[in-house]
Amino acid sequence: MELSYVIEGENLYKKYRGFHLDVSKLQVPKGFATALIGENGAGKTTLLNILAGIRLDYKGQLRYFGQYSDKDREENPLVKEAIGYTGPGDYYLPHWKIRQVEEISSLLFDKFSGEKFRKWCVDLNIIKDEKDRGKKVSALSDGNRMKLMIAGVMARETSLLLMDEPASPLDPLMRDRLCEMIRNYLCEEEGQRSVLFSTHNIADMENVTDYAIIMAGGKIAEAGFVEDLKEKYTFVKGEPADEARARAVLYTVNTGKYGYEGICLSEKLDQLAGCDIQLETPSLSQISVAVMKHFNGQRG
Amino acid sequence: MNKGGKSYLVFTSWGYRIWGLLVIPALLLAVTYFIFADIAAISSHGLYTGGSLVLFYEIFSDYWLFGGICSRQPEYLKTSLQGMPVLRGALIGDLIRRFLYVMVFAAVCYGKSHKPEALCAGLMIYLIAVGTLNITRYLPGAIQQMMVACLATAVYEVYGVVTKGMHGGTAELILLIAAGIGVSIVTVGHVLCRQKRSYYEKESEKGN
Repeated sequence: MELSYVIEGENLYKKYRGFHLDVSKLQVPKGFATALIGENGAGKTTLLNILAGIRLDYKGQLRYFGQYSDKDREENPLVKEAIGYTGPGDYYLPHWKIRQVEEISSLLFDKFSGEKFRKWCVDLNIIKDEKDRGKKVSALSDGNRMKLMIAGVMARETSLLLMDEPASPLDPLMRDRLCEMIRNYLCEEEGQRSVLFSTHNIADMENVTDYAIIMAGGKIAEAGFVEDLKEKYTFVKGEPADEARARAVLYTVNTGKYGYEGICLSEKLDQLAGCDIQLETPSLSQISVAVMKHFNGQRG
Repeated sequence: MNKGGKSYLVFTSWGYRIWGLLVIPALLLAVTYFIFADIAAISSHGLYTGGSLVLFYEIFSDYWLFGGICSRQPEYLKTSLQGMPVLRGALIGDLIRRFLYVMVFAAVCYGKSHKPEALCAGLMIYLIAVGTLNITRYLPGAIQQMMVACLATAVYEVYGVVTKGMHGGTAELILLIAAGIGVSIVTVGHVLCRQKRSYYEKESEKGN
């Protein structure tokens, strides 16, 4: 099956206050849930803001849905109408009430359904029933504010969701629910919808992630389908006697009482031939940490 | 209702519509009609004391409408190409509402006092109120906005004292109307400019 991309980017560059976002090539596959992983300060929010059109001070080219440029995104209402964005910071005015959020949303988006929005608000326990929409945004907890944003985008007909740290303020039950919502969102349109979400805690979202983009220092350090990454990297456990030799091969090395463990490229396993090692399939979380550490170590 | 009117109304909560657009203005209108307009017929003080109440209300009530919008730029409006038109519609709708309310005050005072100064006083309320919004919309707190509103009413009272006996000319009316149009354009443009500038992160903290 030929892979198509919902977002393609080239030479994306942004600089401010000593930070550089420098992404030479970005590809977000269509029909999948992509996790944008990175530590704090890696450039995830910066990149998502650029992709959502929240920030326009950048250089580079972008292509949406295989045909629209970023100029089209700012001029053709069809493009932004098809993109749902949730993010941190001042998203709504704090004194707005939930009812006002619904009214403003119906003015901003042609395909926004007030009925769906009210149902999502009740379903996500933001309000007890559909009449109870007098709560102010400022009176909501961080988690409920995130749920309100999610309800807002789910009440629209979109083809792409861009979500900045959606799991961060949510409790474990709601994180699981979010994963279920993302899976349902993708399944409903049979491969026509895509999700790109950022996270610095991939363990919570790993079970819904199909494709991962790992960022470090404003650049993309690694990208690929999760299954491919799990073949590309191997989790190695070995004896203390071989640790020195392993350090030359492994991206990261954790030393314990009984030996060492770490991640390495599978193609380099032959360099550990003769060592007493145990191999395991790494988790996406382990791969991400190893790649980020390796990348930051290379940068010095 | 056209989109501009809808844009204005979506920024208003039901509480604001009831208290801010109906109850409080009705109370101010009643006080103006039964007290200040009668005083204005005898002395200009009636215009400026009553006008100060209207001015304070017109400045402070913005807290519940746009809530210090220049100190924060709601990202939600940027997720749609309709964001700027909706914001523009809301700002213009708000100014039209303010002008109408202030001129009703002026008309009531003029009706009872028959002093053309009443119309000038009304236009000056509009001018000071709208001009002050360019400050209060940077202040996210109610107390801060209240303090600025108090200062603005002091300016208005001083205007009344300093210009006593100098009113009534057509030239003054035309000047105030022109100034009112100018300050309206600046006020709307100011907020839209702030919103547009928020697309460009010159002073942002380090990103995630």
